[in-house]
Amino acid sequence: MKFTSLGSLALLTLAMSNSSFAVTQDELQAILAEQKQKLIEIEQQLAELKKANAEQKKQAVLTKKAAASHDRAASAEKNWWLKSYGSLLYKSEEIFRNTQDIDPDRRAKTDLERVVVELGHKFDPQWQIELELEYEHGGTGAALEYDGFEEFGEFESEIEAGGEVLVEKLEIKYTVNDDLAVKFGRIFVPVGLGTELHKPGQYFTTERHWSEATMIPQVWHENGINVSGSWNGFNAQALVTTGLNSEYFRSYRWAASGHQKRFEQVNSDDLAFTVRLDYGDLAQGTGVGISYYTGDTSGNRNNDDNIEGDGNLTLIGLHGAWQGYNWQLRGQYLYGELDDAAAITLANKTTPGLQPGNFAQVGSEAESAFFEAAYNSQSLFNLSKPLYLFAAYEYANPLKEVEQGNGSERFDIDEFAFGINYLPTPELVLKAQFAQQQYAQDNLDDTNSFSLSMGYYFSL
Amino acid sequence: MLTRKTLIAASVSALLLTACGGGSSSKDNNEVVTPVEETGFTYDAGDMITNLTKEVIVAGYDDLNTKAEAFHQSTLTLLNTPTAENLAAAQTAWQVVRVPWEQGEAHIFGPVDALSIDPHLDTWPLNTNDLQTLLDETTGFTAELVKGFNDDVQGFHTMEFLLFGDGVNDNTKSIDEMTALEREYLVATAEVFQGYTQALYDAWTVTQDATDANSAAYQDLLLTPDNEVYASELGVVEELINGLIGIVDEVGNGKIAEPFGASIDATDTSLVESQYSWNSLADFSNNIRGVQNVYRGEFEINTDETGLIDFVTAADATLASRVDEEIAAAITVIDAIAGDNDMPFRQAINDADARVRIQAAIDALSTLQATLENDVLTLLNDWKLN
Repeated sequence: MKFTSLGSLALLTLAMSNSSFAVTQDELQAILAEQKQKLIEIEQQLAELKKANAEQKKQAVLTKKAAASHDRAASAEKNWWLKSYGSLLYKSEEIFRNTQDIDPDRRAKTDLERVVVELGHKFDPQWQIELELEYEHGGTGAALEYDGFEEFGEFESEIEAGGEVLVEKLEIKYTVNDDLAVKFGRIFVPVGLGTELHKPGQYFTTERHWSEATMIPQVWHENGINVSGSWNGFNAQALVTTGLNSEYFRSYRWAASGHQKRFEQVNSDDLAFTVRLDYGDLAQGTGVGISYYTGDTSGNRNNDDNIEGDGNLTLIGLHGAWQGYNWQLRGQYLYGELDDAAAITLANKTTPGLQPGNFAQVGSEAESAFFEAAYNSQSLFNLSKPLYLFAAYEYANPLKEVEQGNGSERFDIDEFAFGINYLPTPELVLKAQFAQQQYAQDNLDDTNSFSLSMGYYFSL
Repeated sequence: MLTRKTLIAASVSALLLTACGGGSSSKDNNEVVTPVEETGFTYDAGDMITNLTKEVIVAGYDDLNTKAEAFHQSTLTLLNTPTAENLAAAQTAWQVVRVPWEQGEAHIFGPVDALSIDPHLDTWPLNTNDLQTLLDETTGFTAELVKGFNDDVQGFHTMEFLLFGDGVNDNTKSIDEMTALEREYLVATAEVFQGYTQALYDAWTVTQDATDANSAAYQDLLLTPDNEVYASELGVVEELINGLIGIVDEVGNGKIAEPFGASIDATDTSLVESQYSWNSLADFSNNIRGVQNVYRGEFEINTDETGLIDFVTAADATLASRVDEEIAAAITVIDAIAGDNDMPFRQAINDADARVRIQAAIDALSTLQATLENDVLTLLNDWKLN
């Protein structure tokens, strides 16, 4: 097109240059008219060209936008994730110095309770891996190692490994279909609500529920395998995992301190079996469920020659949660039985090198419970952010029954708490709580505590 | 030529400098070695270790076990014949068995630690609440039952509480105040107690692991120190000195200073050991007599036996005498706390005049502890083992 226009101009110039020779006026006018027509055509072509260019640019912008949108869609389907949560506590409480003390002292403390980093990767639609690293109390480490060659067996402290920096989870998940999955590796033992609802925004009290921690490991992880299935709102799990070690069962922590995380390697002679059935979705706020755990504990002792009996531990947990109309309710009851409690007590007192020998008396039965209710007062006070007012009740007695003698009542404790949770963003929570502890031991007066905490959770 | 001379001069200077440097450096080496030659000492510790092991430590556990047997017998007598005389005899027997135990705290290593025998025998404070609950709610006591109880409701101080009462206003208990169930609990606890003293003595003399007849007696590890616990005599001597430091620290900074408090308004009677029998000052004094036994290598009946004093003398005779005097001085000032009117420790911490005497005891123990840590323990660096 350009070429044609230039050709016409050249002809015009040629015609003009020849006019003084033999061209008549009519001929000249005809040529001029023709040229004028050509110019109009050229202008039209130019306008069309401009229009085409603009259209092209517009199309390019649209294409780019479409590409960006496509990228975003792709990132939403990313095959990795990074999550983190943590909590920090301030607490002023009255504490007893020893078992004879009946006049508590007030003590304030702060605790960087934990920082947890969770990483996940989906290899393909069926296989994925998740790992959780936890730094408790700011994170330093010490672990125990049992050295059978030292004198007559010795529990040695190792400073360089384990302890307060730990891998809570290393879980490989195989998704068979939407309703069936298998997890294995270091996985959570789902007894009670603790392993389900342990992020700071998933409980209202400033600390995780101490009543549960008095009986069983809080956020209980073991090496093993978990098969889970879902059907019509029901979710069932069955697990085979490593069991507990009764060497460290104690009066005041019952089976909780038997968690083998203190050891570098987990003795796995005794395995445990857990089943759990839930209806609803507890993590989303509404559901009920039951859990059952059974496993022997004597075989996992480092020194298992000085004990008779399997030390079978059985736990039953009932739990539930409900939310609606600005209310949230949660509760659980745990009951446990330990066979051979007297034999475990005696063995723990007399195992060489196993400290402390005191508080060896272990309950043959233990129980604990908590219930908490919270109301979101955001609309009531016309606030822009959620403000929960909550009340909580907790109870634990690790020495509910003993096989021999009397169980100390010092560890039979009830607590009533109330306070607030404020969420400046959905992933940050600031808490304040006042609580009163009541002791079954009748010469101990009630004690009071005040605490503040902050917690966060995010997922990238 | 000039250039060559300059080069030579420079070379010579460099050589001289190097030589000087070398000389100076070898002089430094000499200076490092010299102090060892000046203060290094030789001492054959074999006899000392043998004497301390057999005549002080093992003899002490033998004495403890014998007196624990006698105490158990006295409680049986009291159970069967509950008279004032038998109660007094059992009270005395308790004070008697307390002596070798408190003296033995000067060497609280080996089986007494590894077998957790210390907390089984001497856990403090006592859980008086649980003890009372047991007496209220249990119909009878056997040794087997008591052995399964937590350590804070058995051992020396449980037996003390049962024998002497709560110790608040007096340390006397009449036979009428003692129930049959208390006597039964006392007998059962005394039997468990004696079982542990027997186990302790056996671990030192027969086999350290009761479940393995082939394991060595613990005393052999000290007597022939070329084993997994003590690589050489140095390890044994270090253990002995650290044992002394440990108990001097515990008596001065723990047993006395904790209930004493920073002022008369900050005392805490609940932290007084042996407060029911008012035996505290005897306990403290016996702890330091135990230090003296190891240092001198002799019980009162023995003379001229070898002890740590001989090791220290080999290095520094003046220091050896000073340590001996500081130990004796500490015992004297602890005994002096009672004053003219035989004031028990739990009262003395709340008495202005007695507090001055208590402070003197704390100071004396602090001096002794510093000497043991700074002057005696450090001798190990200069000891040339043969």
